[in-house]
Amino acid sequence: MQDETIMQPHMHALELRGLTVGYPSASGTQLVLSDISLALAAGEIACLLGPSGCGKTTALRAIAGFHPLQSGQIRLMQQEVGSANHPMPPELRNIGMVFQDYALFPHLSVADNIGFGLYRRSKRERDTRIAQMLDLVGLRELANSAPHQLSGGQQQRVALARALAPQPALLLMDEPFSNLDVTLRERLALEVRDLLKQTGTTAVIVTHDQHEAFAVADRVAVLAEGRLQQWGTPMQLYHRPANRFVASFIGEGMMLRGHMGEAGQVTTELGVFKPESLPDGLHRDDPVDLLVRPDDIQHDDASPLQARVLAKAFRGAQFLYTLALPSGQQLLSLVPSHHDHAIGEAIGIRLELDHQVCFAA
Amino acid sequence: MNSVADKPAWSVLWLSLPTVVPLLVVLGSWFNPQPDVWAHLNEFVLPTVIKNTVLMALGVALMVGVLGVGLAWLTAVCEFPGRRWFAWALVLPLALPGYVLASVMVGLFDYSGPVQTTLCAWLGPVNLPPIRSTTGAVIVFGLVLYPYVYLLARQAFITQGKRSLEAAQTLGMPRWLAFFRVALPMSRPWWAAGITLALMEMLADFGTVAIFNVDTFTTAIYKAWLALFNLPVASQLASLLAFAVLLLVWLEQRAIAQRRYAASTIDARMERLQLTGYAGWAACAVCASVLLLAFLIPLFQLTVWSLAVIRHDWYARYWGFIAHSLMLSSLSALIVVAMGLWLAYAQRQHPGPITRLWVRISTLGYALPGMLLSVGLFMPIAWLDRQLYPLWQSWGVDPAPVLRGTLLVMLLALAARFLAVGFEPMQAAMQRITISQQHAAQSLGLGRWQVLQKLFLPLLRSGWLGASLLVFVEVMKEMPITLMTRPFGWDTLAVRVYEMSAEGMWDRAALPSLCIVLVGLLPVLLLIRQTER
Repeated sequence: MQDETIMQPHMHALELRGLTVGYPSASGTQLVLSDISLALAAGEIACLLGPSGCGKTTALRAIAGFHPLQSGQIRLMQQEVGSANHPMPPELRNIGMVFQDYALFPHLSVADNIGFGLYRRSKRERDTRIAQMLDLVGLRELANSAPHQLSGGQQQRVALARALAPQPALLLMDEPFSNLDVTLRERLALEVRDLLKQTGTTAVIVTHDQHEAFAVADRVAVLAEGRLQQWGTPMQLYHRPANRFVASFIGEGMMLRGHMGEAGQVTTELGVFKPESLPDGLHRDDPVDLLVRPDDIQHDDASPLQARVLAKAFRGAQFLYTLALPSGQQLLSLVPSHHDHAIGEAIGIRLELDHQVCFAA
Repeated sequence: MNSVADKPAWSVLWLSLPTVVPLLVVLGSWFNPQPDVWAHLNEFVLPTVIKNTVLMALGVALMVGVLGVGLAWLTAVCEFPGRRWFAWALVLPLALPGYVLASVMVGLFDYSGPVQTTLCAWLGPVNLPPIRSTTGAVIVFGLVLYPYVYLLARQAFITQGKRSLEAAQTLGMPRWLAFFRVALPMSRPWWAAGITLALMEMLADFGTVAIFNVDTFTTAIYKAWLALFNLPVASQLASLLAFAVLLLVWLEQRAIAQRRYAASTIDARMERLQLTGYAGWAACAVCASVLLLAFLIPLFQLTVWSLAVIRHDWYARYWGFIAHSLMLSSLSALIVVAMGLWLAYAQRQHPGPITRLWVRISTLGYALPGMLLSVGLFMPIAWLDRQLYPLWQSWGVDPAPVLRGTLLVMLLALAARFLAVGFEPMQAAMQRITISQQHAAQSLGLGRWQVLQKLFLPLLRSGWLGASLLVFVEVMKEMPITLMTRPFGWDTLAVRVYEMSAEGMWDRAALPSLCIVLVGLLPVLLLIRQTER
């Protein structure tokens, strides 16, 4: 199945062009999403990631057709399925959805729930497809149970099977793991990813949890205040954040103050760096901030650079130390947990900055 | 759970007597067979009664179902001109007792009524289908009873939100089909219970069918009692009614039990389905015409008739009717609220299965027709009177029936009939007081009575205020119990309506009807305020 997606690398399954969505309010229209553009290849899984209230669920509902567009266009398999002037009703879009509360039909059995979207097919066709989907999600023996008899994880699989049964061109999932036990989430996220890859499904998943997004997604869209902050792979988001918001929202880290020097160089307390790219409009001696992740700081007793331990948090295999440099600037450092240092102690550190990212201060 | 809580509350047994005794009496009446009368009944009465009852049950179920579910769907899920206003206004017909609407309908549509005469003046001789028929009765029942279904179905549609409809849409199903495949079956536990409630009211009704001249079980019981003076036959007829009603109770409880599994997520930003253009105005017209037929036209007609007769009809006796109605309603409200509080408190302190079962039995009266309760309580009280006869004599009291001449039978029957109305608000208020609040009071050294007095009574205020208002109005609207068991000459507003209607004086029945409707509006407005919140 994966081969198909590789054969058509330029075919975009989903394309958002300048998606803008608003709610009517007392003072005209209050924009919830402005000018979101992104393209997702067939068979890829995307996550919409952002803090609560950033508009990610609205984006999902707009794609499904439950929220009208202010402007912009939604294209699915090269066809327009929604724009401000031509909203297509949700039932004609061929987009499946798994709701946050699953929205299983309590009056139908598991099998009838899964077969619900196949109501136009013949009974034989429907039964075959239901059996296939039951096998796919491993719930064959529960076919005749009622939804309320299932566990949360099983209900989620029924919801997924129900959405996938009519073979939608796109699958949307709204916070699919938020109703589940924390210990189950990671395992189920991987299971869902396997299942989507196995069926070659193009999917958009909304989440506020970056670990979930990184575990499931091929590409992640970071949203904040209704705007697309960055659209890229998890690696890009972590190592090449496009702006300060993404840098602080994804992973941990501290900003190290520095100054512009000669020929695009940045001088800091920990040395001189030459980032691959720099923000525009910076001049010599302008202050800049260099992003330093906890894994960029190595513990090295032999290093002449000394930092004082301000606080420490035990994380099992590692300690997360909050360190103060002689100037008083703070940094985070992840150190294997057999290096147990007391608060106030000075330790030797070494900076290993593979990805040099800096922002205008 | 401690051992006290596991023990059943025996005091509840006493409270269940007004409900259990009449049921046992009517079921036991078969030990006194009346073969001659039954031969007559089997041949001339029962076939018509059963046919009418079955036809009306089908018609009323269909009509309240279509009206109730349809209007609830429009006002809960759609958006159209006037929706917010209709959402609460459509509850107003609850204030109209069936017999009031029936007397207005007959007054308007009968041969000599204004509609027929106007049509004849314009079009020459025309014959409307006779209003005094099962069809007429079905229309009246449909118009006054649909709010039961409307309120429950609306609650279902609001709590189920649009999520399931959206799910159906993402699966490629258009909305109108999703209504039949998803919304309707999912809300069945609610609207099915509403229909069974409406059917219970229909079976309990006496005034409406009496006005329409339709023979049913209640009119047959009335005739057996007051025309044949055959109490055993009356109560044997009542026992047949009891079977029908208990079947409905079983159906209703089954529907309510299914609600547990129905999803209920309230979506705060539920977006309504916009009905634009013709569709919007059509929805508006449907709601408006139901409201006109079921409430506004009758109210207008009652006002017109009342104004016409008030000058020479409003004489001193009216104060008597009003005083009797107020007294009966207040007394019943007091008794029912006390019993309801007792039941709710007993169930709280002894939450075992036996207590629960007895509370359920005690509050069964809401389903039992007033005719049945009247017959079933009159017979044992009359028997008690006879047993006490020598005692009265020895005290020098007039040897005429003593207990029968008082309000005792009527109050017991009314208490049984409306105990559920008083119990449920109390129970709901009781559930809002947490077990830990109660334990906190106990741990501060308060005894059982002090907990009741210092914690429950103040916190239950909204419960018993609401309960007493509801019972007060229900009793004022009630007809069969008051009619059958009142002491001689002790007339109320409802009795006056019956007497005037029985003589075909629709305009003179309007004045007491209007009083009842105006008082009846109070709890409806209260209900509207609660549901709007």
